[in-house]
Amino acid sequence: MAMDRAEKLGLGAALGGHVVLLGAFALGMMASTEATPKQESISVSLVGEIAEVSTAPDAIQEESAPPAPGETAPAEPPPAPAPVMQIEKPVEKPQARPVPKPETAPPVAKVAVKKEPVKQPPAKAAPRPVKTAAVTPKTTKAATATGKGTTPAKPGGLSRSFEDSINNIGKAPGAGKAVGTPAAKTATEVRRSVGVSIAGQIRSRVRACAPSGVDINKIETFVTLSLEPSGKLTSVRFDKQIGLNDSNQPQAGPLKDCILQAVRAASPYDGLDPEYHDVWKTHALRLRATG
Amino acid sequence: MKTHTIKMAVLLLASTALIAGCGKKKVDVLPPAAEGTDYGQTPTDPNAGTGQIVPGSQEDFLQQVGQFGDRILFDTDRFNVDVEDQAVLQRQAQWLAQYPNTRAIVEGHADERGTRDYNLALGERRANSAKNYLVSIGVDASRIQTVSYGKERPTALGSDEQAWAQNRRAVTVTVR
Amino acid sequence: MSLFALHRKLASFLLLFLGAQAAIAQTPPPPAPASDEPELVEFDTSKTRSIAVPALVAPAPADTPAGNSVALGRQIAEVISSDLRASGVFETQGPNGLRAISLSEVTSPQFDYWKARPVEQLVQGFVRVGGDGNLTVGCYLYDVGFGNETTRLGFNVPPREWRRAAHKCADAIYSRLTGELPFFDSRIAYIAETGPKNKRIKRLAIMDSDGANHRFITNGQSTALTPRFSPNYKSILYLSYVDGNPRIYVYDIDAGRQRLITQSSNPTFAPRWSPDGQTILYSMAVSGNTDVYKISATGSGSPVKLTSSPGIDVGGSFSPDGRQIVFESDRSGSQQIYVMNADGSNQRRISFGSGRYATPEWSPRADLIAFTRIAGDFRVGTMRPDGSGERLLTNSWQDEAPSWAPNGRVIQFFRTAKGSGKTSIWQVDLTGSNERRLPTPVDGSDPAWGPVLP
Repeated sequence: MAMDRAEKLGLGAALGGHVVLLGAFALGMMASTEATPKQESISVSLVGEIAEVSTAPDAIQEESAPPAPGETAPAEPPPAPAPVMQIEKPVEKPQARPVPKPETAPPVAKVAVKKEPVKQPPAKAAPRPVKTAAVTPKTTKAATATGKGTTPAKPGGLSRSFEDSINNIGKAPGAGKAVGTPAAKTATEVRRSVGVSIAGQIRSRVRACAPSGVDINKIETFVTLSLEPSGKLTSVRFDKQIGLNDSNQPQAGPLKDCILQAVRAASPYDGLDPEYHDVWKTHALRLRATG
Repeated sequence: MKTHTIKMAVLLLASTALIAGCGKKKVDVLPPAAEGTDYGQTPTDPNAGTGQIVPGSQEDFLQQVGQFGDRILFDTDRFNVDVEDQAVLQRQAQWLAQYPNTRAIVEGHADERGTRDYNLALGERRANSAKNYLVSIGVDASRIQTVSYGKERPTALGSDEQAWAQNRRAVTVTVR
Repeated sequence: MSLFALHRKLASFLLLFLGAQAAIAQTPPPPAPASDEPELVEFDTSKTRSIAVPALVAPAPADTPAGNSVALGRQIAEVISSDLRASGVFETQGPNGLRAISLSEVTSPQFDYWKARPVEQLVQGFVRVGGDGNLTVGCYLYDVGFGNETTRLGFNVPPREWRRAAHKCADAIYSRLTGELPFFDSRIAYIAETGPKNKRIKRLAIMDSDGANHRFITNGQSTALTPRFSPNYKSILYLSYVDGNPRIYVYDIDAGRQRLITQSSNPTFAPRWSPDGQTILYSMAVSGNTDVYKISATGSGSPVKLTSSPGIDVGGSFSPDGRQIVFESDRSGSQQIYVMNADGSNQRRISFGSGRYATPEWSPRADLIAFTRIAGDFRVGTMRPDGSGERLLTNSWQDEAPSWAPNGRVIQFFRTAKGSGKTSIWQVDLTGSNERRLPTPVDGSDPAWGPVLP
């Protein structure tokens, strides 16, 4: 049926209004992204530290090039400047252990940043699906029978759960993965079993590198893992250590480095159900030595 | 517990090696030379009777004051001179009065059941206690020196109360 | 589709979007409440870490006054391995039983080979003899599990000091993996004992921290006691009966000469250095009463009397910052531990446990005070400088006189055997583990540990 002039005008106004609104919300979303408090930067030892610095005092000459390979006797010793065994300063406390590979590859970092407002706070992962689910049935009722149809272009930062929710418009309630109160219970159970799984895969690795010391069992180390649905670790963030005192302070750094390395080494993590990735995409850990 | 009637299986008596105590020696080089050796113990039997005991000598002193008359004993961590000790010290004072040209060194000792520095201090206390009493009954203070050996020179070798009781002692050694 | 249907679709999408935005906007990230704290993951730290130390490569074998560099490469690895094993933190492999490594491997390890052994850490290195006759020793630490290098260091030493290069390597490895400060490259002064219980011969002696390079300083004609290295290793404070009385001397190691620290005719004992080596703490008995004094280490100036109680005040140890002194006193009726300012003020008791407390020593890390506790047996323990947190580390008939390794992680003491009175030197980790005897040529007592050599 042909549109008359009034309808055309009305449609134009309606469309224009929607565009404006969409734009406003997109902008609003970005604004709220920046308003989210900045997370602690991942404490990572730079690879560069190995090449630059040895833990020995300054005057000790460091090998700057590998020894000449093979049987050809080198003309001069590899360390070029005059090495003397005088130490002017006491030995520095050891640096944090280096990370085997760079921590933040750009796409990874971007994902991490963008996911921040979504993952914040990890503990609230349960309520969010509830809210989304609360919205969905309403819109499901309001929507026509048209299912996926025209999924609009995603604004920046729209999480997959929203995509899924949108795609689920028109489906029966409960077909989506986060529907009503049952989702909250499931999320808790999921988190707990994920916690057990991850802990088991980290524990033996931490044991292999954890330092011993007086009051070592007073230190609690908090880290947060960011995980892909495959169980692969995209990043780990050191949050804090508590329980430090004069006697166990020397072990704080090595313990933290050990835990970070163990977390990385255990990736990819087995036994994490991709269906509940939303729940465990970030996972907080609290570790402490026994004894 | 201290008692003078405890019989010792072997009597190790102290004989004096001349201690260069007249004045402090400045030691230039180590290891030190033969002089200035510290107190050594060699067993002698004053009752052997093989030689004549010179009056005023250490052997004479030991003979005069009788067995164990050259020492007083103390309780753990104590350094007081009790009535029994006074009797012993009086006999010593009498001998010293007899031979006014002699001097005496009072050694203070402690048993092994103490830490080293504290025992050196305790031995010094004990030696001074004995000296103070001797002075109080008339011996000229300038005739008496003290030296502490802490737990370095036990006389009884066991690790039991009997041995320790004998090692907590102040021993008077006369010097010509 | 009709326009209205399209409109409805758009509207529903917008509503959804709105709702989601509202959801995000209305849930700002709060700090995780306590009930949401992550569950505790526990792990134990008792496992020693495996580390392989193959012989260091000598790429151009040459003779030195200390032996051929090939042999030195093996000996250096042995010292590194022994040090790490002695610390109790590592379980070591090699150099015996390990294959020789090639020079190229030194900087390019065959990680798969080492991983399969298995071993977690790997030390590789080389020894070169320079044109000047000095050795260049390079050592590299690798993490086998991660397949990467942790640290590398190089040292240039005269051949006769090859052991120091090994200790420095071991120190760097130990430090890096434990977080502790180093302590292997240091010397120990102690009293070597021989003879029967009632006629002990006691000689001043010094040695490396692992017992090597042992040397007698005195010949035993006079009893020597309680030595202490000066912080610069140039002198030793000790007690000698060389003139018949207990006197404290400063012995100049290079010159082979000694001098009295004070001309007083009173007996002096229990000598200690201040951390900066400028002051000597000692005890002196005047008329039978012992107090703690300090005097300038140069011998100039007069002694300063720090205590004056009628009891025995003896011993003492400076805090690492030199501002406080911990000492023992029986002014309360039994030996207990007291702390005072370095000028003698504010003397206060800190030991209130059951038993007597003696021989206090302040850790170079400042966090703890080591002591001998006497309650029947003599046991070595630690407490915080305020007297709290008492922990006993040993349990034997008579362990006494603890002193600290320069990193404040290991305690050294001597043990007397009941009956025979024979003495031996022992070490124990601050956690109470890894109690081990330090090998000495004869019996030993009064061990004192010097700082890490520069």
